[in-house]
This record gives sequence, C-alpha cells and structure tokens, in this order.
Amino acid sequence: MFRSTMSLCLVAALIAGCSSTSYQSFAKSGVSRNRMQQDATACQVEANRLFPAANFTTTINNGWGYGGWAGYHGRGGYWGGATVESRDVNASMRSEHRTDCMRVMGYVPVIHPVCTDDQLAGRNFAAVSGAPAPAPNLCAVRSNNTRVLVDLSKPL
Amino acid sequence: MHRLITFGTSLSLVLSLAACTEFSTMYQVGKTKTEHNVDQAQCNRQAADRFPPRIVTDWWPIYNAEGRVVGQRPESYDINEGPRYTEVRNCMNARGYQRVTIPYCTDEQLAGRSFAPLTVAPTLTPNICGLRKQGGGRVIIDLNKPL
Repeated sequence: MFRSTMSLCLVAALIAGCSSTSYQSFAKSGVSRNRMQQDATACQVEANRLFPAANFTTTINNGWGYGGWAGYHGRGGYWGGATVESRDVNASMRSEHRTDCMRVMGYVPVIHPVCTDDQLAGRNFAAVSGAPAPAPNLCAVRSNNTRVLVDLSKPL
Repeated sequence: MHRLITFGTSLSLVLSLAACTEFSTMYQVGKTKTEHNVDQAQCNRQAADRFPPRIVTDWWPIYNAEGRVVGQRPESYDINEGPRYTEVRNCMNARGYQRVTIPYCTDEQLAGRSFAPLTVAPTLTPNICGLRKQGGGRVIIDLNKPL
C-alpha cells in the first residue's frame, strides 16, 4: 500500500512537471545566466545542508465503520481502512531558505511563462544571456533537460 | 456509537474553532526564524534517521448486516510514527525550545494599523500576537510597535 501510494505520487508529480506552464527563476540586472546559475547552485547546496530531507509518515484513516475498526458492509454502512503517506517535512523550509539565500544575493524570485507552440511556430530563438525580469517577449523552452529563456523578438 | 460520533464531531468543532484564534509552536526567545527553522529541520532529520518508517498491515474482518464475516480489509500504519514525533519534541527541548501557544491578532487589536514582522523571537507578552501570511505561513508582531 505504501509503495503503491508513493508510486502514484511520483506519477502525479511527473505529469504535473511535464504539463507545467510556468518556469520559476530569479532576476537580477547585470548578471550573466551562468553567474545566476552558480549562485542558485550555491544556495541550493546550502539549503540541502541546513535542511536535509526528513521523510515523515502520516497514517490516513479513510473512515470508521460500524462496530469501530472492524467495519461494516451493508445497507447504511461503510468501510474505511487506513493508509500511510510519506512526505519530506523539511521540503518547504529548504525551498524557503533557497529563495531567502538568493534574495540576500540581490535576486528577486520571478515566474516566466513556458513558450507555447504557437509562439515558437517552428522557429529557433537565441537564449537570453542574463537573468531578466519577466517581459512579454520572454518565455522558457526546454533544452537538454533544463529550461532556457528565449527572446521571441529575436529569432535566429 | 452515535453518541460517541456526536461527541467526536463536537470535540473536532471546538478544536477547529480554537485553532482559528491561536497557534502552537516550539519557541525560544532570541532565536531568528532561520535559526528556528534550521534547528527544526535538524531535529526532523535526526528523528527520521532514528525512527525510519516501519509499516505494519493488519487485516480486519468486514461484516454484513447479519453480523457475518464477508471479507477483510487491510489497514496499514507506521509503528514508528509516534516515537518519531516524540523524538522531534525531545530534540527541540534539548536545544532550548518549549511549546507555547500564541494568539492570532484580532482586527480590533490591529485597528487598521501596519506592523513589521519581528525577526527575533521576543519575550511573550500580551502585546505579542501572530498574523497569517498570504500564501501560507505566519509572522509574529508587537502591537506596541506599529509602523
């Protein structure tokens, strides 16, 4: 039960990731994309060290049946059961620290849209070199398993 | 059974209402939010390592209307779930934290004024209260120090 629940969570997360329409990044004027990525990696390493993964389980009672835990199956009754779910209780603090760390370095968290097929129209665009704030001509595409910002006003 | 369920529902309602007016947290005067979070995260990890999941599955009978067993259903639980939370509490206590209850600020107390969130945990007095942040989380403010 535990394994199947985790498998379902993983599948759901993958589907959500594949269908994401936004790309979270950081903006700061005057820095290169490489510099921004180095700073983001440094903050991620620090966040991972201070907030390591800690998987806690929660038992979910799906309902109580007639006669207590034994359950009842028939007219007017229901059956319940209990399942165990697992989550990393440090995940939100880790994410928050990563963002705070980037803020200390002068970055602002931003969300860029993912380019639609209509916007790309089969054309290629140059990758944006810096860490810009969102703009109507900027959107993200997937390249080598990572997201890259492109400028729709500058087709190659 | 019906009375038990009614009592349980009433108790849940009372607890829900209480949860709206105050919150409970591990607290230590003088700690910043980051220091608190790091201590909490380290204790969480220590507890997770010391008490990893040990999932046990019990099978319970399912009765029909005549009281006859017509099947069975699984019920899974982690026998380390309780000890894990106890370990976190002990770890935080060992680091100097105590569980406290802090009231949420009321509209009357705020009176339309703005307050800066406190960055260091203050000594708890009647003028200290909590505010919910948009998007989750909360901050602590001092009603005697409006902006």
